[in-house]
Amino acid sequence: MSPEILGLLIVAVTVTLLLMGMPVAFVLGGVALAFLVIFAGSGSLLMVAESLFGYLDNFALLAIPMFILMGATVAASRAGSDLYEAADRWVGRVPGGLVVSSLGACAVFSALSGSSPATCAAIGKMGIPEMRRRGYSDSLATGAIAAGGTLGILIPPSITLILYGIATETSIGRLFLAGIVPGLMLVGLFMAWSLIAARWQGGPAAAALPRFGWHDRFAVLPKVVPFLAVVVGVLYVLYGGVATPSEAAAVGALLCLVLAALVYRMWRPKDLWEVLRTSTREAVMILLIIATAELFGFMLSRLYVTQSLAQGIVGMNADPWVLMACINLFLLVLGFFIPPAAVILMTAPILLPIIIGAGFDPIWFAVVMTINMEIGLITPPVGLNLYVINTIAPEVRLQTILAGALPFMLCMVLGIVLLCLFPGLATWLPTYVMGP
Amino acid sequence: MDPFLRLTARLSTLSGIAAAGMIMAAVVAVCHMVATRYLFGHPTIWQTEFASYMVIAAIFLGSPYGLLTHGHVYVDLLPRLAGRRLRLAMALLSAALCLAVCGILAWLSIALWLDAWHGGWRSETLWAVPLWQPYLAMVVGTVLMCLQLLADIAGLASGARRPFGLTDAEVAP
Repeated sequence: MSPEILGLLIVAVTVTLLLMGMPVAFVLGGVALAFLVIFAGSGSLLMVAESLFGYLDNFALLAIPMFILMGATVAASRAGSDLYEAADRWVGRVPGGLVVSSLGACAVFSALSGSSPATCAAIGKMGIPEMRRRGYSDSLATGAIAAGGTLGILIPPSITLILYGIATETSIGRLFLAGIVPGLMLVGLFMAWSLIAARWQGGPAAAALPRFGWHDRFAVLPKVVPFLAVVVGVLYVLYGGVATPSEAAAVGALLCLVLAALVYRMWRPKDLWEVLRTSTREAVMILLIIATAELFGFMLSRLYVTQSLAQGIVGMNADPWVLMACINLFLLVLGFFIPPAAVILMTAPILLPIIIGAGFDPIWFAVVMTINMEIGLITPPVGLNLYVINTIAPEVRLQTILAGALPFMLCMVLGIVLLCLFPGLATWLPTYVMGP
Repeated sequence: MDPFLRLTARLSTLSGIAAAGMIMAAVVAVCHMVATRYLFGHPTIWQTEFASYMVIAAIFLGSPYGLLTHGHVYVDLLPRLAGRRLRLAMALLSAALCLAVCGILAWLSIALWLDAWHGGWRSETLWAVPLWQPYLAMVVGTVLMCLQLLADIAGLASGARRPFGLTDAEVAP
């Protein structure tokens, strides 16, 4: 069987099993095992257990459970609400300012947590009821938080950028830096749209709100500042070249646990177990997909599917930008159905040779891919953030949330277009800080 | 509830608690390393390897708990749209296929573990850990996953476990 037909067969089987509701990790592992046995002989299984162990025996991977633990700790505390309140008191006075401050709080929280649903939940719990109470429309209130939450995977630390770094052997430090400017650009675009939407809506949302005095503004800081200090510390340690991402993440996680215990009195075993339980569950899920995705990738290259696909695409001599558009469309469709972590692990190793072959920068592509994945987080049927919002505000209908999220989605598409026009948005900062 | 289902649920939960403890241990080990190396300038020997092995063990020991609590991410588009009986059929088939995957992995892990045990394999580092120790977590984890999947199938068949953990309210349009 030619590698091309084999490739199609693998895609068909994988998609069928995924649609049937089989967990992603087991689909990847199972398809890899089955195709290895059938097309490369049962002897190829002998190394599987040792390879699985080998893929996971990588110090860089430790950053994932550690950053997840750090994010889960902050998410379980009241830090999200406090952050929201701080943002409100400092910038909430501008007309439409509550949406702007919610988006700002999302951006800051993204820097505390590498996960989008966590960001969405932490800021939304406080932000959505408050915005609705003050007269913002349901669609703007929920759409803004859904979109603001997606920043979690773009603004460092970001779980998906770590995964991309591991899957493609790209520097995680550079990837994190590359996410900062585009992240801020998206925040800006989101805020601009919210101000326009609030003004259009008129009524109480557009009216100026009571002014908070300096006393109120500073009173809220003591609870927020320690966590922000941890973030700044973690980022400083990463870029000062002092420690590796895993080391920075471990120290960050421990510090956040200690701070949560001190500031929010989360020191009872029950609180600690809840944080550990949720973060372990999430980390295990992602790491198991990493291991089986590696096995899947090994199977693809063992059967020459990856190579012939890359050759075939390079041989087509297509215009690089047409190719880039096709890849983005493909990722967008995948993102509708499969969570970002799984999409990145499954496709990044296959796409990377194609991207480099077409002359694109892998760091820049990581940012484009991440924004693309962010869109998938707020589109049905598997938009995680939509479900998070649905849990926070069950009385708002999914259609309303979607209608509110749609303009923000367009902002993200605009963001991708801007990145294509000005690749420097993503590549300037990493080059400036870490050299070419 | 069936005693078998209860026993496997308890085993998977215990395994999950162990996994959480191991992640915490890895965090502490890495912090210890950071302190030793950067604050006191001492060389470090065991922490990197220990933390890696702890996280690997946590992956395999945490997976049965993930199965028990539907924590492994899956595409729930069709299961949500499907009727009650089709959904049950999909859940059963999915669990049976997962069982096959875990069965093969368990068998391969046991073979690897036996090789490491008899061959006296050690990691190629200063610390030189006997490799049967970290490999053991793979064996225990994959075997427990098989047990949990058997319990899932039994539970689905008897109606004690909802397909994909979806309640009727969640699938209603």
